[in-house]
Amino acid sequence: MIGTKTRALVALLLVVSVLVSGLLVAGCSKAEKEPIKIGVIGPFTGPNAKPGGRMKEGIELAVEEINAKGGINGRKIVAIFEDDASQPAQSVAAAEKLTTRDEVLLVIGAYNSACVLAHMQVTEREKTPQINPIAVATAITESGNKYMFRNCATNPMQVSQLADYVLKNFNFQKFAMLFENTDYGRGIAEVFGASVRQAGKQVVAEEAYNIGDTDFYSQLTKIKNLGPDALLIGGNLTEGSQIARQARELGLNVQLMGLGGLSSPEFDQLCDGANEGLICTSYFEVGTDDPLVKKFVEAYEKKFGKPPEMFAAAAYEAVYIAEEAIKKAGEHKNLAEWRQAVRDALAKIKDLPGVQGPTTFDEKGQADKKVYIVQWKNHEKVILYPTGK
Amino acid sequence: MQNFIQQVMNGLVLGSVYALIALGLTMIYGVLGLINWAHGEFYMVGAFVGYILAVRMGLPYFVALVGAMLIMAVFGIVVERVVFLPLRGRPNMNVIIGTLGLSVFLLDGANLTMGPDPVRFPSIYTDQFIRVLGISFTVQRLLVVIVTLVLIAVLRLFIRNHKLGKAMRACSQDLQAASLMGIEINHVAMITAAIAASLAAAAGTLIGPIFLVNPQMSIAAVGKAFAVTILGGLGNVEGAVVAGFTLGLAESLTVAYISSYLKEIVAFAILITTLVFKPEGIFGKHSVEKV
Amino acid sequence: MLNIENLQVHYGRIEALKGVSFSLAEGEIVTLIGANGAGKSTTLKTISGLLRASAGKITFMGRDITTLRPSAIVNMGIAHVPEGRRVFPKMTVEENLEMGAFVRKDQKGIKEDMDRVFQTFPILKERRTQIAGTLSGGEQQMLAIGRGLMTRPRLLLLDEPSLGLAPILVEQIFQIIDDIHKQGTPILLVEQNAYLALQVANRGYVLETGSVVLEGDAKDLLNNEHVKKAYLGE
Repeated sequence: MIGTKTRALVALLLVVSVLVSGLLVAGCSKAEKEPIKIGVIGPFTGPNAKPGGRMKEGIELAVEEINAKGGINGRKIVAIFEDDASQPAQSVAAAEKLTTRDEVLLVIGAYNSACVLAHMQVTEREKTPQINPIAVATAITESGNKYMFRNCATNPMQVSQLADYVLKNFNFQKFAMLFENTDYGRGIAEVFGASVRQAGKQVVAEEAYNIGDTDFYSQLTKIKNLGPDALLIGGNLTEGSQIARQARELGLNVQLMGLGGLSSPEFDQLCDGANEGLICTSYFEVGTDDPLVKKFVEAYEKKFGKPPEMFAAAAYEAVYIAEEAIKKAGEHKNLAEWRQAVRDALAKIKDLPGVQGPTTFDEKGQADKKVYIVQWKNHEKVILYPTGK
Repeated sequence: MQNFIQQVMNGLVLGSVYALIALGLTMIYGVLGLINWAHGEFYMVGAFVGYILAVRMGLPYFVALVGAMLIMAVFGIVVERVVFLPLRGRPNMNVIIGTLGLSVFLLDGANLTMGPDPVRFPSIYTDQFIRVLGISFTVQRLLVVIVTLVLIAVLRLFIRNHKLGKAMRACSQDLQAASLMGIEINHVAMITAAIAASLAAAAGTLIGPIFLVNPQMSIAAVGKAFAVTILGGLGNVEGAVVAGFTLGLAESLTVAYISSYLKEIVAFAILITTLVFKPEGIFGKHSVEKV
Repeated sequence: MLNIENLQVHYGRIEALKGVSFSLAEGEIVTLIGANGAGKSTTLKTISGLLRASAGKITFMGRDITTLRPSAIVNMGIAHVPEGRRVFPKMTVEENLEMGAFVRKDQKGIKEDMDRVFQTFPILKERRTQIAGTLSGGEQQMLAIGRGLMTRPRLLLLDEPSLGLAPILVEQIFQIIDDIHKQGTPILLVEQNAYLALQVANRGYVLETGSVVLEGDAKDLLNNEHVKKAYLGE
């Protein structure tokens, strides 16, 4: 008998306390301002789920840090993640949902250029500013879209930076290029070749290969006979590593150069030492003295138990660029006005420090970013540029 | 001249791989009467078996090569019993769907168990170089050509002179007449599948140390193997060997003296020209229509 | 020695044999005559195991062979020389004969039989290293028969041996069939050339659309009105 009564009493107490606490929470949130919503589009499933996951982690870390210092203008920020699975159609649906239903203030994303090119028309139509941290197709910022900003270097930018560096620091006269027969590879060859010729040097070989090719002896033999001083590999790590190895086998002892993907640890592992001395560009390096990078690497390692890579860094930086713009834009009642104010603030950003170096957007929304130039030495990367930091 | 010799050597390496893969494809067509769309996967699985034996289990390279060939021979027999046998004599569409299904199964299986990323398959011969007359290649590359030529010679002897080899030829020329001779078609089919799979394993294990090993390697290989098989005449063993080396040399000399842009185009241009003017393949004769 | 009871065979849903019965005794030549599509070749293919009977029974030397595989039937001593010769076109004459002896292991006996085939068909000896596909039609027919004899058969099934041959060759082939029979090998002969077949045979069966419509001694059939009208063109 007593048992039943006691139980009833406990139940009543529980109900009351839940109601009271609910009221309390409601009261509090009313006192606090509503959080600022940021939409994020990325491939969180599908073939690029791995880099998509890094991207998400970078954003989560930045949001957590900003909220820990009290948010922006007294408001917390919240990131709403939408998966595009690397599918352009799905990314358009994601952009529609974020801009019209969730009514986010700003969008960050995505990973694939094809996805960004598809959904940027939605963000433009909704006059919602977008920061693109990863997709590198030049068309994204060349299309005249006033709401698109990109905080990473495009391919032509990193290729010409690499060319400038090599032409300035080495006395090479003859260059050879071996590149994949795609827009990406041909674009690299075009920009690099132009820089070389402009400097009055010679391009002695321009050889192509197809993605998935495994044997490069024919091209490399031809290149070897033309006697270049340096060879640019315009492709990704799978083919790139085999080119490096086969060049070594053929006794083609020239300076090797490459881009982005060739700075990854996977590339080093596949090369088995054939990448020794190879110079390549890199978006992000953990081993710099930059205090901002050190702080980011430390916080990331603490939260996720592994060092960050370029996609995490780019997305992390994008959130801080958003923070700066939102701060400058101030408070607006009307969402459309607020979005416009954030866009205008983004356009005015100048020399904002970030983990990928300072950000200044040009009139097309492209940030004037420098990439790292690194050299493989004994399975470690030595940073050649920027120096003295 | 140096350039020419080096390019010929490169072409022979490529041709060896094409020939080994195409041999199995053409033998399966000849004896079993079906086109094995999963043959590229035989090569890929063979490469992974060689990789596991040599790298993960640390066996000497030649032990791994023979081991991979034996394991894949058993694999070939299992596939013949489970997949090819039920498809025998069925309409073409069933055969295409059946073997394509096997291809997808093996590709996804490899993706799941070995992962999609390429792995290195080092052998002691990849770090030994031969440099003569200004040309250069690794011992492994020489090994590819030599082992391929030895395998082709052994296979040729077997097919020409061994009773079972002759039975295989009989089956490929006239299956019904062969069975009237008392030849047990099932045994010949199993032996054929075993030889085809083990040649693919040899190709994979020979080439693995030169390139990388990953599930996708099957896709690039199978296109070329089909081209070689058709060029040599479907079901024609000698044709497959000659066509394999022809294609390898054509590709490498195209890159050397014309342009690397044209490498794939030349290969397939030869194929299309052959199909237009000699649809039975360069070395093919009009085959007897099977009833 | 060979007994066929109520044999039925289907190609899909089409009934090719509708209950055929006949027999062949030791030392006989029996011929099956009939028009195209009457079921003659189907009967032979079913005996040698290439086709499966849907009903009925085939016994050979007292043993039921209805469900045996072709290789087992060859092993029991039935050699089938198929319609259209079906020699292995890219093999030499000698290799073709070797294939005939595939199930045998007595090397000496094989050698003897090959010599005997070369005696019977001297042209094959001349062409022993020639590729079979390049032989003339008559030579190919001789090779096909020789290949059948290489199994050292207890019973020889011959399917249309005269098909597509010049008249002079046809006569030669029938002479050889007679010789083989005289040497003691019983023969089941399927022929469209009913006249020649009935002349060489002891007994005959007339097949029409999958059924036996007439049977009897070869000489009686030669004089039968129906056979004369339908098959002898008189």
